[in-house]
Amino acid sequence: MMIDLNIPYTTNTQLLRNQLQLLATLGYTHAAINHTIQHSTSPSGFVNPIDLSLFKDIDIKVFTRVTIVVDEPAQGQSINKFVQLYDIVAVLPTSERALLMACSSMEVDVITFHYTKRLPTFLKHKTIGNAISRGIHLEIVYSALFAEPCQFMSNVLNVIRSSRQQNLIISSGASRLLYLRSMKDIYTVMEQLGLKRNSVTQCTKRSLRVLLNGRLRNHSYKQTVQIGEDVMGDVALKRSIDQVQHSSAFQAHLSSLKKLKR
Amino acid sequence: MVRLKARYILFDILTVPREPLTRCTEKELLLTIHSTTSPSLTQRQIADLIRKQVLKLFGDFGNGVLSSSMVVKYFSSKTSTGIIRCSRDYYQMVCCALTTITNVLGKDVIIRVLSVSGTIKKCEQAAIERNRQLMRKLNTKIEEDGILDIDEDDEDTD
Repeated sequence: MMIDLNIPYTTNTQLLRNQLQLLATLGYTHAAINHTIQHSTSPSGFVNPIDLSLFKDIDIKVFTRVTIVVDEPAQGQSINKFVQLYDIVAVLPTSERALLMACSSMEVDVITFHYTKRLPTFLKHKTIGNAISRGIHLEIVYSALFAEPCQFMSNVLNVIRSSRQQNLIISSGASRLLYLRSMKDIYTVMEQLGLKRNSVTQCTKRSLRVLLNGRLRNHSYKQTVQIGEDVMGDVALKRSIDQVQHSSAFQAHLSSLKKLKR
Repeated sequence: MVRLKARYILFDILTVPREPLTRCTEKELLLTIHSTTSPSLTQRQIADLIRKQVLKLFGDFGNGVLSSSMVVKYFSSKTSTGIIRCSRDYYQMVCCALTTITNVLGKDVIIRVLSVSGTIKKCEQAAIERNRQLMRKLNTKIEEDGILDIDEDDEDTD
């Protein structure tokens, strides 16, 4: 099982289709299309532009993700509206104050950085540790390895050091077909950068956890229970407890339990 | 006498189209990325390419430790598959170099490390098994589509 949580969204559907198909060929099973917006975007009348029905025939499960670029946290809008529209919510802080706020109080799944540029600030374990204790994951985007290798490596070392190798996930962020790689190959590069093998192989599991958490937020009862359907499937809907109790799957399960009792 | 410990790396070269394919089905993409590399690509050229990349990533140190031990044992441009032999202590450098190569003879490529093993025999077996799976996949795809539009180029025998 391989997961890529960052395929940048473009209006070029052809390219997206090609990328997803190539991911499927490389052995990936899940992917998320990433839509990047500014923090100042007004939430009223905002719709998710990603049309997942275009990718139905490709043998890979596709999800949606939003990355909010935060520069000045005071001036931004509330992110609650976006949370409901996408499966995964990520934040990209570009200043020290934005990073502090993202780590301490924002309700997001993932914190990510521009790996082709310098990091906004020196990352302290205290700040990042705060985010880790709240269950937020830190993302390493490997497509920068091909564009800006030096900057990428120094940034990754910073992230690895400040997070103490905890809660890291790896994704592609590839804007071109050329930058997609098999997860195994990227693991080798990460090991060379000093990530422990055990910690590296955990990355896929963590990505899955991020996806599951994000998915459950909008498609379950109190983020814990979802009955009768695959929560990773595309038919899962948000349900009230009454609907769940009257659904055929629940009734079938109940009757089988009763049979067992007899 | 102490044996020299080595690792054999099985890799394949996937050719990536510059422009996205307009009709992107699984079969179409498989045929495109597994297309043959140019027959002028020799084992020596691949070795040079890897050395250059190692020099870029690891500098003189990397080049020094690998220069005596790294050999391209086998490469077939028809299947774009090859086997490299290198020293066991530094095989990860070669893997890294292979992963970061994006251009071979002016074509955009992804180089994928398929398996790493201690004997060349296991690498060969892995390559054969891999090709068999690929053929099976393509054949079922063709049956599903009901069309046979692969170019027949079996005339030239090796």
